[in-house]
Amino acid sequence: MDTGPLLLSLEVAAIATMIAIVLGVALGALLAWKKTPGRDIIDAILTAPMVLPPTVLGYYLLAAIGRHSAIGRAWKAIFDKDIVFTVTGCIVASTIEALPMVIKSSRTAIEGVDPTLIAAARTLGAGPVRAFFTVTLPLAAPGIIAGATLGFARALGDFGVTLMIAGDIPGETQTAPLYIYDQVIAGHDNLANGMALLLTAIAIAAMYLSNTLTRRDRGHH
Amino acid sequence: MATTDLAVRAIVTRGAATSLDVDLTFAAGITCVVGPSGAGKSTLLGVVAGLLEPDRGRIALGGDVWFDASTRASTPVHLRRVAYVFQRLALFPHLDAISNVTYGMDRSMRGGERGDRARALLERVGASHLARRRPHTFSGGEAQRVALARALAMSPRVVLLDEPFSALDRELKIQLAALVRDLVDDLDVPLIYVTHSMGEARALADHAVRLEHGKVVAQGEPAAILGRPRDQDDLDERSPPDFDGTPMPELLRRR
Repeated sequence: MDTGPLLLSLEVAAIATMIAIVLGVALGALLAWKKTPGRDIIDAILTAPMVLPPTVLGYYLLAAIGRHSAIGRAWKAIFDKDIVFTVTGCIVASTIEALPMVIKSSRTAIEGVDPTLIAAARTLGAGPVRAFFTVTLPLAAPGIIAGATLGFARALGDFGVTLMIAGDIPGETQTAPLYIYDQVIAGHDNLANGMALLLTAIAIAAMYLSNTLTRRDRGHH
Repeated sequence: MATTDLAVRAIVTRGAATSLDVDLTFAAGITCVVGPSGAGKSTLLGVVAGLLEPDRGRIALGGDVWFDASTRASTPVHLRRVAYVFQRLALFPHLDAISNVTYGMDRSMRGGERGDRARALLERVGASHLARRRPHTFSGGEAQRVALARALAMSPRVVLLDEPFSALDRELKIQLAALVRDLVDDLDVPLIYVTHSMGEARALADHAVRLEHGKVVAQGEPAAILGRPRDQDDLDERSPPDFDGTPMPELLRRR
């Protein structure tokens, strides 16, 4: 079995998860903030990718970052490369898959922090930013990490969005799920089987870790 | 008016659990605010701390105006230096006692200096053995001590205590009340002590205020407001009878 697709998947999912954590925590905090106008509709839009067909997402992304889009052309001008049909495209696809998980879990975790603790930090001289980073974020961290773990598993397993915007180029953009599809089509059932088992093991480990973190979080409060 | 006097004129009708309409001045020393549930005691504390904005009124400490509805001026919570010991204490669960105590200290101080000062404060409140432990391992009385140390560490200009000892037994109440008396005499700032317990109020108050339905119904000398021991049944069902009516140790009286 070729381990290249698995390593590519792990690398792409790791980078995508890190990007999703930074964006997702910021957006989750914004959605948890009561003064954000229209936050429930923004939440619905940002987390819609969880329930949209991957081909629909991929189609939108092609329009947004494809070769003829403004972003695609700007990217090409700066980096002399395309986003689509490259590893960058794989990372974008995986980030889009992971992001809603991190946004949802961050919002829930941040909203779950006892407001009296934040009030206490404020009376002790902390401005809103310091209170967020020293009290809210550390207390919300287990919930955020649990969401990020699910996001990682989701990113690792993406098939449809990756196929739409990064293609299925062996040795370049072929991630583990795409590899399985190719091996099944080619009749290499044993190769497909091995990769499927590996991905299953990683998925179960991620779920287990996420559940453990969520439970510990609940015990904390 | 002394430079440390806290003047609170506040009308709150929205955004709070109970409404408030008061005009009060708090001098240095302990002012006990008593009244039944829903009288507006916690709303009053929220307004002083800056956690809650009055609809109308003016709040000033000496010449320092914290809030003025007519000019829309409002000093943010974190710049007021009001130490607030919440009823549930609100110790930070992810920090040990030392880090809880240093949290509110002047950040221009060196880290080592802050740590030393925190240790000294913990020792003063009888909690030095808790230094490296986290709040979930504290008993009720221990948590109270750490919360007091944390409040004092910030060199507050006003101290607010919201039913601080309601969950403690009599011995601990007397110990901690003595500690509060000691600390406030050193600080020489206004301390607002909200309580259901007339016994606690009688033991500690230099001044007393009685609130009902968000309004001041009496204020002045503790003896006049709080009445004699046992004359407190209407307000005070929740406090343990053994604490009330018992003569307080001399050490709780004002020095």
